[in-house]
Amino acid sequence: MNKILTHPDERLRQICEPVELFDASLASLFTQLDQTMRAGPGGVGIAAPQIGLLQRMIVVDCRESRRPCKNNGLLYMVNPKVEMFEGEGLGREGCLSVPDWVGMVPRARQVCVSYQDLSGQQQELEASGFEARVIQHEIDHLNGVLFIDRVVSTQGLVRRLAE
Amino acid sequence: MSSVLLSISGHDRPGIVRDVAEAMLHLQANIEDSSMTALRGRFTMMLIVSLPEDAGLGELKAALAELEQRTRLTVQSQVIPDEEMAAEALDPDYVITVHGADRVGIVHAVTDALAAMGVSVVDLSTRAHSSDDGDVYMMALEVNSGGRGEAIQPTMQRVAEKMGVDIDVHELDDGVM
Repeated sequence: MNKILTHPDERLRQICEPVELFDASLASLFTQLDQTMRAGPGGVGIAAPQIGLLQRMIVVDCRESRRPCKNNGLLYMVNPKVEMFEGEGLGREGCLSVPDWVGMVPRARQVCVSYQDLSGQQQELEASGFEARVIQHEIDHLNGVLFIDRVVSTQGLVRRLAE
Repeated sequence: MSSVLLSISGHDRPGIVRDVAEAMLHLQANIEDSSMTALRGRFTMMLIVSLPEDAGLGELKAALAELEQRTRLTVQSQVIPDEEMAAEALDPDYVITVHGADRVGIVHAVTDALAAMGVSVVDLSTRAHSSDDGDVYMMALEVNSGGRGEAIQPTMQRVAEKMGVDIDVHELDDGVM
């Protein structure tokens, strides 16, 4: 189990490097990420920079989310990229790296994501609702973005409606 | 330790929050939870402050009177019972947004329907906005459904039809990522 970096650690603000080597050590890093994600309650996703690893790797698992939701099971994604965003929905997000804070964040309702699996094979999947939100949150981490950068208040919502 | 709710407002200008915070600092009073916002040209503040053990309400009243005199702000204060101070605000699990032509009664129609369901408003903001197409009214509510979330969407749909406005209901998922 690895230590989780917390805001305002500078490493959470770095742009992560693409993974180029697909070997056994990559699988072991994913195991570490997975275990760290499951160490606390309610963990549905984690990104490598949260444990200080500045590589484009994320784990997403919405099978055990508090409210049952449509999902693609356990996902180990290397170099993930959202190819298509659709719709917008609001949800509350919390982050292992920003303890004791939840905020309302607008995200695309549906995403199409390309990524590589552990063997380097190119994959693509569609996700919607809560799982799409988690994937967007984790990919943000790879670009040094935290959910607190995207939080809207009710005031902010009214302002967005007015635009 | 006494907790006091201060309701303060004044003609908007730079330095209002500073002036209030400075008065609190002199009293060694701690600003706990607060909500402050500009409504049109008026700056409005609601804050809960905790007084230090040795400070009486008298001292606070005197400081607030001095603040009003000096800054032209309007200040009201009210002691908060310990039981309210110890309570956490309800967590919202739905967000409702309302958007439509401005008319009297929108806030009432929406909140009357919610109250009848036992749904509690946690946070609410509204704005009336003039545009070329007429006056538009916008409202965003964060609510705690108290387990009656399923009923919100159909109920709001009926309110939307009756009032001729658009209402969107968003369910808030929670997760640690």
